[in-house]
Amino acid sequence: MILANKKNQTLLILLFVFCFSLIFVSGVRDNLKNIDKDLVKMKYEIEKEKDLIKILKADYTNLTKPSRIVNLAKEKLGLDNIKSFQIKKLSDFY
Amino acid sequence: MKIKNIELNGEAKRSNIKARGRLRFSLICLFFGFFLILLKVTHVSILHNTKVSGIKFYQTHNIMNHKRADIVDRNGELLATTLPFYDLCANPKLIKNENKKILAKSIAMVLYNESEEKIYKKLNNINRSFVYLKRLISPKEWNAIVRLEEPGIFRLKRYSRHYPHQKLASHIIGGVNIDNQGIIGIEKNFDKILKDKNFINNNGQIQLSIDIRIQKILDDHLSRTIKKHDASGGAGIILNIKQSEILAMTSLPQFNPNEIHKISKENGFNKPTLGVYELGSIFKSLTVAMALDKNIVSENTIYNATKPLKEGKYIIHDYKPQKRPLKVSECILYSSNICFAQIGKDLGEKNIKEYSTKMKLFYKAEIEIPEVGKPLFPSIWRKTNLMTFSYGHGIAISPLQFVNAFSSIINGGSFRYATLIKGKYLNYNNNNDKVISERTSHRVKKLLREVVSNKEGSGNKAEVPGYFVAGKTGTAIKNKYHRYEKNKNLTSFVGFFPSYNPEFLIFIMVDEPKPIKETNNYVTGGWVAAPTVKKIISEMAPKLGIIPKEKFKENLQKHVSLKNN
Repeated sequence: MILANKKNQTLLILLFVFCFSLIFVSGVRDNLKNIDKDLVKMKYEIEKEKDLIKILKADYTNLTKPSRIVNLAKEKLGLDNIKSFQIKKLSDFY
Repeated sequence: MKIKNIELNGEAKRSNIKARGRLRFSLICLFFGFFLILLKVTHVSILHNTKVSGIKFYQTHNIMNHKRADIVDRNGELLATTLPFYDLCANPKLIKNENKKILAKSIAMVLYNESEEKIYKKLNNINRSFVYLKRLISPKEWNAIVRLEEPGIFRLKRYSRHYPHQKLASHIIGGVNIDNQGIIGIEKNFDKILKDKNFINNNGQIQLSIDIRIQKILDDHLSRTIKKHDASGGAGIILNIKQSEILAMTSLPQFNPNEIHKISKENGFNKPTLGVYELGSIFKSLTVAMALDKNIVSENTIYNATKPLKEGKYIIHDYKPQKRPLKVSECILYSSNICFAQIGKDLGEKNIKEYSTKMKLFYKAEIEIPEVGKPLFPSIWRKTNLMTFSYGHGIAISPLQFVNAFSSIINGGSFRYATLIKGKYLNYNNNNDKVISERTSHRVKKLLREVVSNKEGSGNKAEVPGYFVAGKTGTAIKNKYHRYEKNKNLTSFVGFFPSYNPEFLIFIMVDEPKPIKETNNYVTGGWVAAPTVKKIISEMAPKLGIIPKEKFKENLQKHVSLKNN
């Protein structure tokens, strides 16, 4: 009897649309959650990589710090500091 | 099929109205619920609510708060960075291994420098659910711990500051406390910026003006001098005059920012910026600039230095008395206190105050670290104050203040504060801060060149062939509790090169050097600080690619003949 009314029919259709959209929205939400999880994972991975790069940079700085280079150059290559007269322009030779 | 509208009456009509009302109400509720969900979805997808992301995001977010941006030197060399570290922790309530003594023994065998007893005590503390077993463990140690298969033992990640150059430039860079908050130096001054999330995420870093190679040279030579003379400490500043950028600044002894908890009152004190000292004769360079600029003296004005000068109850002596009348150019060459006391008197209070204000001698220096000292000067200027001021006594300023003032008299006469930030003055026009005229500046440079190039000059030990070094020596008697201690000196040398177009300024101060045979038992600026400046210039100039202005072939021949001999 209620269905006989046009307004009620529209309301019923809307109810179906609503239920359908509810399922759709929950699907979207689940999807979003998964994407969000992936995003968090990726962010975590990026952070990890960034940390690794920082560790490598710090290691590189440790290896190339002036005191170490000076000592190595002296010990292994027998090199000493440059003397001022050793630096010249090319034109000075002619 | 055609549905006819049936008219309802009485009870049927009422129940029909009721049913419609219920249906409408439930539909409104459903739409309202739908609207709420829609709002939530929009919020999650567009505004990105962090709660949905769960604990991991919270952790990442939380960890971010402990991160700090890097600090690098002028060439991009890393000076301070934040690295992940792991601490070994335990929950004594969760430990499954029944024999905790054996467990403690196994852990102690793995961990370096940790006693078995201490670990056992911690593991046996059942009242606590969290204990630190060891701060900062290596991956090797962790791998060994994992093999013990004990679920009650775990590791926690934390971010901590790391300074790869250790003690080098520690007074500039500063340090952080256990909560990663800046407590000294650049770390303190730029704490907000260094912790700013956007700044960190955009790979932001603070680039300092210092050059770690030059810093190393300054540190090495100054510490050698301190060791050689058994001095109590020292300070040094190297400045790029054209850019007003500090290339190196040191205060010895210094601390290791990686072990900030070990900092002491002595090694934590920043001498070049926080300490204020009566600097002695290097002040004469400022006095002569003032007097020349005011046309009170010329290079040829003669002052009587035949005998010590008596003023009230004070007698002013010369360190190396010439016992004859001296021209102003000779007064600075021999560093005559007698002459300069007279110049100070001639300059007068008004002029001294005017120039000192322009040179910012009465104000705290401005620099990008919080450790800055307040100068001490007389409240009432008597005649003796004017006289002692002229040769650097009776006024105590920080070495940085002096470097700022000295730079202004040799750079053409303009004042600007030295900076620790690279490129700060790139688009800076400082014509308004004129201290002395360009002509006076030129005359001062000539006089100071003579101090080093002349064999009789007090600073002749700073001469480096080909670099035209100029400068002034300083030897001040230390003042402690308003009494001068004759045996305790503060020796210094301020130099710059090349003298005709100054590019670099080097200031060295050695605190309480002891007499040694090598320097004929002299503990003056000329014997202690000037040779250090010579060594620094000889090493730093080639590193910076500065070519000496001397005939190459002559030098080469000299070198070859020396080798052949």
